[in-house]
Amino acid sequence: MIACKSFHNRLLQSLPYTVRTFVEGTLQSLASSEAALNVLKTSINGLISERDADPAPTIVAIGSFGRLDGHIMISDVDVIHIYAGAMSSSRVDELHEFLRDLIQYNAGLLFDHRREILERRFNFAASPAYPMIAADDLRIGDNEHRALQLLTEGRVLRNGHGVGDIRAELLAGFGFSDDISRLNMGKFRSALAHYRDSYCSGVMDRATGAGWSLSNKKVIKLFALREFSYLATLFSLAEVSLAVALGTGSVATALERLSSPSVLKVASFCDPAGPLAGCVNKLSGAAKKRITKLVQSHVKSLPEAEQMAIVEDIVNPAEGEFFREVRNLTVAVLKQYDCLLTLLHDSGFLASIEKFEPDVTSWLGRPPYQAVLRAREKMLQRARLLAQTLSECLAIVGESGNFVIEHANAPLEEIAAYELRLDFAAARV
Amino acid sequence: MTEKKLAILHLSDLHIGTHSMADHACAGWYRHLVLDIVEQVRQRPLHELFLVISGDITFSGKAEEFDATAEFLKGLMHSIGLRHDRVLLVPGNHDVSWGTRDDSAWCDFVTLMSGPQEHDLGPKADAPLRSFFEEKISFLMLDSTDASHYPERELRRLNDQMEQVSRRQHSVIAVIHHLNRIRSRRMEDMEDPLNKLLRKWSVNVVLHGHEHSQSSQSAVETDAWVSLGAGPLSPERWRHEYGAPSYHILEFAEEQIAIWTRTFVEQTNRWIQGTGSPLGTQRLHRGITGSRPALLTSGVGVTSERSDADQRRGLVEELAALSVHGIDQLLTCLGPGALHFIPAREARSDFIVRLVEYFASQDSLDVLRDTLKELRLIEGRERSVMLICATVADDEYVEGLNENAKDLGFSVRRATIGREIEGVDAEEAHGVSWDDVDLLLLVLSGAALDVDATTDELPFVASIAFERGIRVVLAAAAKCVIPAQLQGLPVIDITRERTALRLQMADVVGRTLSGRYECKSENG
Repeated sequence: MIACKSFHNRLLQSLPYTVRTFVEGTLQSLASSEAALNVLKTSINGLISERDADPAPTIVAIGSFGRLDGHIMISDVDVIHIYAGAMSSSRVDELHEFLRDLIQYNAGLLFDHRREILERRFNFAASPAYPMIAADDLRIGDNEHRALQLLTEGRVLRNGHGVGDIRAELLAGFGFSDDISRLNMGKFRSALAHYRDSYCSGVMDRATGAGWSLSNKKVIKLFALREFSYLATLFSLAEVSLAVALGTGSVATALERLSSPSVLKVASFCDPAGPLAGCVNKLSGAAKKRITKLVQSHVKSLPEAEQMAIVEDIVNPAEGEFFREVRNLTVAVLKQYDCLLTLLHDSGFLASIEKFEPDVTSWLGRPPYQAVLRAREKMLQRARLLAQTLSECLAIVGESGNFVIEHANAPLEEIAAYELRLDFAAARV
Repeated sequence: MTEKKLAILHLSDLHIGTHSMADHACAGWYRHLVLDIVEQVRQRPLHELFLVISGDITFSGKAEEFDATAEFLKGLMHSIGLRHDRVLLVPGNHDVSWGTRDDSAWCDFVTLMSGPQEHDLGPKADAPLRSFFEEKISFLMLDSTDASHYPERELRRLNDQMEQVSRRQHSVIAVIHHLNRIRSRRMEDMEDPLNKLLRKWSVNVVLHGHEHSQSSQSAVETDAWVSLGAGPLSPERWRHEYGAPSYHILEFAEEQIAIWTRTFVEQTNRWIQGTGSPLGTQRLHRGITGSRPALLTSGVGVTSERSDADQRRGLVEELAALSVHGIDQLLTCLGPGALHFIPAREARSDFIVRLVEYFASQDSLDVLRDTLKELRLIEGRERSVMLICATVADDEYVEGLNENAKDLGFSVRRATIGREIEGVDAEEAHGVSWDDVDLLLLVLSGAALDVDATTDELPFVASIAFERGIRVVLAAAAKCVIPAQLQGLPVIDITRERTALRLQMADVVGRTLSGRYECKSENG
């Protein structure tokens, strides 16, 4: 899987040593997701060459494996078929048969409704699982969520040629332009928020017994990971907008940033070659000092142990004081995310969660669930701090008059105001 | 009196190079190995443990490689509470500096790790036999790095030592890097004097390394002995052409040896329980000479109560089982005076040792132990306890709150304050202990404020909860005037109908437990 591999490598290369040590759990998820997708890709290619299908379907992994934060033991593999032109009923049957074989040959991976599909009892038409969608339909407002999935978590498994153009078109539809005067990603942000809300409601419906089976451990994992993915995408949107303001934004780089693994979306702020660096490096000496002091003051609000993360034996002189401080704030977010992942991947913890009743509200009094809430809140606190700091930094960058920073600032402000989503309102009481 | 069992941790082919511990990924791999070993050893707390490494400890026998290895092994020994005299090492072909044949680095290393001995490389039998537990068990440490046969003089000395061992009906475990030096299936091997000697004195088990193959990692029963290979245990050397990394823990019981093989799975980046099976001792007794001694017919070593050192070791083991998140929680519970754990600068196992040492130096180990116990108690509890504190005047609200709290998964306790029972001792009168309480719900309707003493008592009860770090939520009527001391606390409107009340309660309580309100008040 070349695309995934390059993301993984890019992540490792772009992250400073200190950052890497805090994301071991995340890297583990990345590696296992990548391995699963490689297995799937090989299997898909084998099946398609056997069938000599024409036209070959475009298959894209979405969900946790698409985001490369899947966990083989508990995450389902979600795939979406995209086709060009019209779809005949015989072609639909053929694709369902293909899916059946794929599931059968990949016994080591989790697929939704495995048994029903293998026993030919599953009604594809009545279920949102394993969607098939025409490329033209992705452009329609009703399929906004699918379009977002393709942009922010799509990992092409088969026939990627056709997907690139569709993604570029969809991005433009959401308001992207490499010209700062025409950039307006407000639609993307509101679609993203809507996607998060509706997803949580949908999950809750299933969790509260609306006819869907969803294990407790999946519910708890999905909430936490979806939330982080949402925040991480907002961070990357800020970077995309900053790159456009700097004059280095392009459709290709925007697509790459928006569909990066969540960890990379957050970590790339401490990349001394990133768009933030491009802006800061053009500031005057006095402004640079001011901006560094500003970040330092925020770093001081972190607990002592997290402040000390900046100490390293090998200091990269190209990095500069400002980025070392930004890195401290970034590490704080990643560390808390790593703690959350450690908890969510702990088999003892998952076993205890599985014993709970299906009604999510009844989990509140359970200590393991409280541990997740605390871990999520801590992660959010650090994300808010990073967003707040970056937003204040952008204000100083904006004062220089060289860049339009409003577009980058908007998603950061959204993160800074974000509160823990408990989504109990969606629960059936 | 508890009799300890014997256990052997068998590692091999670590191949630690100069850069192994400097490289982040590589050092991380070895740390991961240590954590898995600690976890496995922790599950066998009453064992007399030996560490046997059957060669290829370093990559090329350089002094700096031995230094790096010593650091690694010291960390491992510390983590599992292993004494130096329980460390048994034989060299492999990678532990020899072939250019110079200088043995000094190896000798220094072995002296450092397992105490002063005669350790020259080559086929010498000066001190190959090490006996323990009143000589009930002996380890025969064989150097196979020299391809030549053992000199006759050395074999004679070895023979004399083995004769002594045999008279005492010892169990004998041979450790050698190259199994092919004593492999017993071919006739020409059987003519080898060392092979003949081992057969003559009926060695029970041969532990070896070198082969890096999956097949050698399972116990192989030959006509003379049972052989078992470990390794490779190196992130660089196993990836492609070799078998998966593995190590063994051998547990000796009266009737059998249980071999627990741990195997590293690259795809999931985890150590798992690999193949491994109990070996009946009768199989080990059936030697070609028919005179192989019984293998540990009874347990070895005797212990009474756990000593301080054992308890300290147990604590290290318990701490090693904590996740990063668990360590975070522990440090939060211990308060700001405790040490800081910074994963970028320190391995988790090193930090745990440092933490235990830190508390030992202040004669306050009990604090650490109690905190850990408390943490486990909290984690082990099925439900959190919500204490609903109200006056008799608020009874009408308490019932609804009580039901909702139960629906939210809490175990509910109730305390009445006010005219009837004065002061915070009230909760004791109702059999409620503050130690169990996770969340205090103070009910505050307009009626409650009319009750004498309530205005003072409610803030007083809240202050006790604050002191104990218990989170507090107010359940108040919308128009109720909240006393100044309680302002800023999260509030539930008790006048809502039940379903709406439950949703609001879930939201407010959820946020309070997550620390969000706490955070707000800190910022404020």
